[in-house]
Amino acid sequence: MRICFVVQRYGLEINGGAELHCRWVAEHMSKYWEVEVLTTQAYDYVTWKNHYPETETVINGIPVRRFPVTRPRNPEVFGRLQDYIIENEHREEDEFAWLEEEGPLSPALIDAVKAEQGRFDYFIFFSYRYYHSFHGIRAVPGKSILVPTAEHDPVIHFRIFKDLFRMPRAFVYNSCEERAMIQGLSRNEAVPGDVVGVGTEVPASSDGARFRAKFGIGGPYVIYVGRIDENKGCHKLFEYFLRFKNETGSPAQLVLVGSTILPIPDHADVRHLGFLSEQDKFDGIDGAEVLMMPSFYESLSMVTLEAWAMGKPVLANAACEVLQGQCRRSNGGFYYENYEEFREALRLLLTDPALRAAMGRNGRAYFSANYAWDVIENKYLAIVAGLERRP
Amino acid sequence: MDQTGTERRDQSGIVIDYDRLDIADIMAQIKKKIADQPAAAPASPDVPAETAGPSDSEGAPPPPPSPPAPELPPAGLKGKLKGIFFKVMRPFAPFQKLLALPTHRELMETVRKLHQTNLELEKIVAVMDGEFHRVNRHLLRTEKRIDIANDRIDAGRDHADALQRRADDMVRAANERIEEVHRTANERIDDVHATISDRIDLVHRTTNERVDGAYGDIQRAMEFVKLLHNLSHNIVVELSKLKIEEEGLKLKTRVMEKDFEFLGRREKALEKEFLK
Repeated sequence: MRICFVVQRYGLEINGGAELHCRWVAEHMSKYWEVEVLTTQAYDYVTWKNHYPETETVINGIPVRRFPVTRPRNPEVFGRLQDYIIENEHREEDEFAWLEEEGPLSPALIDAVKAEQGRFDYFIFFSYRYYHSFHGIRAVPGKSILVPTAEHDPVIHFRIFKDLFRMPRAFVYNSCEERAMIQGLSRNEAVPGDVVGVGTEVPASSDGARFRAKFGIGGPYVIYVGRIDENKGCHKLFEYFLRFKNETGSPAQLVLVGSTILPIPDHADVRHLGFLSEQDKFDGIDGAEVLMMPSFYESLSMVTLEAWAMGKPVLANAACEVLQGQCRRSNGGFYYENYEEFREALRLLLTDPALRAAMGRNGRAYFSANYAWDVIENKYLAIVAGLERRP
Repeated sequence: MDQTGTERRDQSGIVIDYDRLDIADIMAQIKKKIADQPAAAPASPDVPAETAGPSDSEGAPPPPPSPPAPELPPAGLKGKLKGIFFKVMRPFAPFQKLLALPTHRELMETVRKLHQTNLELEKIVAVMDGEFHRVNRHLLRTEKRIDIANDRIDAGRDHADALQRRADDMVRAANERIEEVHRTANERIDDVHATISDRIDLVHRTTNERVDGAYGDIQRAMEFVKLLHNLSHNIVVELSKLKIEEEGLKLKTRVMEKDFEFLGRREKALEKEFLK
């Protein structure tokens, strides 16, 4: 079986959710299939500027072919157009114009998908909202499988995506909530699909004490891992956490791991460590009492799965249906809708070690049952086998 | 914490079953607890500035106090009466001066101010008159424009009525045409239906006749087959009899041949006896 993965960016340096998701799945499924990757030469997800000079390379044993982006994205133009489309009545042409601005605009990639359709049995497209998925699926609908990685943001309501969601042969969803959302929007129940998600690579050993010693952190702490951004709900996290400390007198610290585009509050108990290595990140999660996940929009939070894999409880934003659903299904995390719920849930977690341990156990069991790599691999194999049985 | 088996009650009254955690249930208890709490006290003033977000504020800040109202000159009938009174009293000003000097000075000052105010008021009235005339002219122009617009609206309404009538006529004509087409189509469908029915009946009848004929032929063929079967049987029996008879005749022939040989030899023997 020859399978082609099509994704907007691909590389060892790229840590973005869908791109990393694609690389891990491609590498794991190469045990069963002949796998190739078609992608663009972009590295920066804001502008899609051509970054990788080589057009053909091999990454961890997977052949990768890169195609140029003909026009980089202008964030200002794109932002204005998106705001206009979201806030106003508009035509389908406007949505197509938005898609071209969204990019990465690489017609050569689409031409390659068309040209190679005889050589591959199936094409697996990642992220519905980009140019490559939209036009790639239309080029080879009978051989396409879509991993939508959809979030509950306004873009998903665009009319052009309603038809797109009825086009692929199969879907690989990240969560039950994502499937319900896409089926509710497009009524594509006839298209087969399964909730799969992605596994994660948790190191065999991680040491919270090493993390504390390395970064000079004493006492209990909660951790946030990811981009520190308003879209990720970090401004609310700062506000709620400092208010929580002020009201309860808790000694807990907030440790932030990741690059920031928000000002960090000038407070002794808020520690921003910047971007860390994988080992440091896992050491940090290991030493934390709770993983904070304040994001409003998540298709599948990998760091939440990593925390559960390491037996750590999670405190998530209930506004994100996926996170709330995962917390309920796993019984491994609390969720809050407002400050009062945040305060009570965090107080409960910080003062009750037995509760943390029980939630950690539940999270780990949930991860093993649903997100261990053998589970993920078997689900992908079953989806493709199902398509082979249904010509 | 109160402990009962694996189920414990937290200090804040939340019941947790540690062996069978139910996050939804705990969250429901948290929500209930929050709902049962009295309204939160206002945030203490030592909250850091960066923590005070928009959600902390208890509504919008009060608007700034409005500036004090400016002192207006006395106006209206009372002011005018006062002015007239001071004018009337002006000849008695020296007496007033003798009686109460400071009061007289103040009165004079007031009279002067009132006079100036009167002048200002007259100026304002003149300006207002001008404005009133201007507004009047503007109103007249607007009325004219409204009349023109009304005329145009009437004309437009007439035109719209005419268009409506034309549209009604077109709709009526279209409806009639649709009805006609519908009727014609129905008639043609009925004709086609009748033709097809006739054709089906004919085919049915012909087919039945042919099937009946074929059935008779088959019956006859079956009788022939039976007869042929009997014939074959009889032939076989006769052939068997003939075979047996043939075998009998062959035996008889051989016996007769032997008799003939015997008789021949006897003849030869007798001839020999006679010739001796």
